[in-house]
Amino acid sequence: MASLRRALALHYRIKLMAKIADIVDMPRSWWIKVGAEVSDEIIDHTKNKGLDVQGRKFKPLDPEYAERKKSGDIRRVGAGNGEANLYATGDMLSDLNTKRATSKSVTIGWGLFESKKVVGNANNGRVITTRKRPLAKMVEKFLQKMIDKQTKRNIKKNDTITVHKLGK
Amino acid sequence: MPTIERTAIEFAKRTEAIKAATVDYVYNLGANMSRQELAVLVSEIDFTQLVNELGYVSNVDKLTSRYVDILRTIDPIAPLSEEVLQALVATDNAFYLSKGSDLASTMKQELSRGALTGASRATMKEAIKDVSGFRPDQVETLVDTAQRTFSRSVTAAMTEEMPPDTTYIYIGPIDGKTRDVCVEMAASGALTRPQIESQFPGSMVTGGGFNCRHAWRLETKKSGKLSGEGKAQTKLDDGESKKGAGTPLQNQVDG
Repeated sequence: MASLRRALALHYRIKLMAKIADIVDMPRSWWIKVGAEVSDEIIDHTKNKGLDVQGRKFKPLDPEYAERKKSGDIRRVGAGNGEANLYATGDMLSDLNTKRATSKSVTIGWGLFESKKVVGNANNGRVITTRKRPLAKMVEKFLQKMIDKQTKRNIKKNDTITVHKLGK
Repeated sequence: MPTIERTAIEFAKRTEAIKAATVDYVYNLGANMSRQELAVLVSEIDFTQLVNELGYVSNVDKLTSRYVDILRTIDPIAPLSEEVLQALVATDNAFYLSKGSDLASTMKQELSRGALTGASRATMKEAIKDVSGFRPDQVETLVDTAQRTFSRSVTAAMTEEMPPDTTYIYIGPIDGKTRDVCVEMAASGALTRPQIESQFPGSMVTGGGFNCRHAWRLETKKSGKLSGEGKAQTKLDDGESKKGAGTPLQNQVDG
């Protein structure tokens, strides 16, 4: 009897684990979408709010460069504001996108060429991401919400889970 | 690792050096020749071969090897076979090599004229700087555009596995340098891939053309704030974007 209980316990534990995995498992297209959403959140945080990964305002541009940026006196850059928002041609921020997606994760980032600009900006004190803090707090919250929402959906989809009482 | 801009500048610089070396080669070879003899010599030389031997082929190889660097940074979301990627590289390689033949023909023509008019070596070098289509800024534009187009091709291939009703938004700056077609695309709002292909054929890969700073991206919650759709719509309503109407795409400043 004891061995049967152990066998049943193992059997149901495995089954339950499989169900939990289903909850965490998201379609790959969902992860691609997450990558796009998070990338756009970062772009908005950087370009429109002018904030770095720590949520601080970027240090102002060198006055001469700010003036050139305002006047549109830069190749492929139209006249705009002279604010520090890491957005001139838009090439660097537009390149931030989903680079890899599986059914369990997504990787976002820049291609080789534009990533050099990201590093250059970071060396210049304008940091979009770091190893310690990959996402700004606001973006992190946004991502958490997306994951929570999808997890709830998956739980609903997998609501056939039944609790088995073993033994008495 | 150089940026796209630096790669383009390097390619342009090396092309300039090849042009100067071609002039030197011809003038050294015909050092003691009369104008007519020099003109005959120029007509006899295979300039495509000369330009290639003076480093144009290796210049193109260096440039397209950058593409391989791009490939290394992309872990395709959609299955994009190595053959397809190599085909994209090969297509661009062929494009630059054909540009080399154009360069050779133009240089032959210029040197032939220069020989007959008795132009000095220095004058010739100065004259070929303006050879149509090969000014450093023009080469930069070509390289820059080709690399961005290449990058968009890969992204477009990746989006193929998304559901067909997935919508995309045209993202990029809307300012005084934005061309009409880009303003139109930005103002069109969210479109599915088939809609994009029917309304703006090819734009998923080429954007608005030379120097374009825009691309179609998956529609997100923040797309409205990033697309400049409202700004583009205002521009269209004001008829501002029509100012450049009729100007060929490649002659417009920017995308």
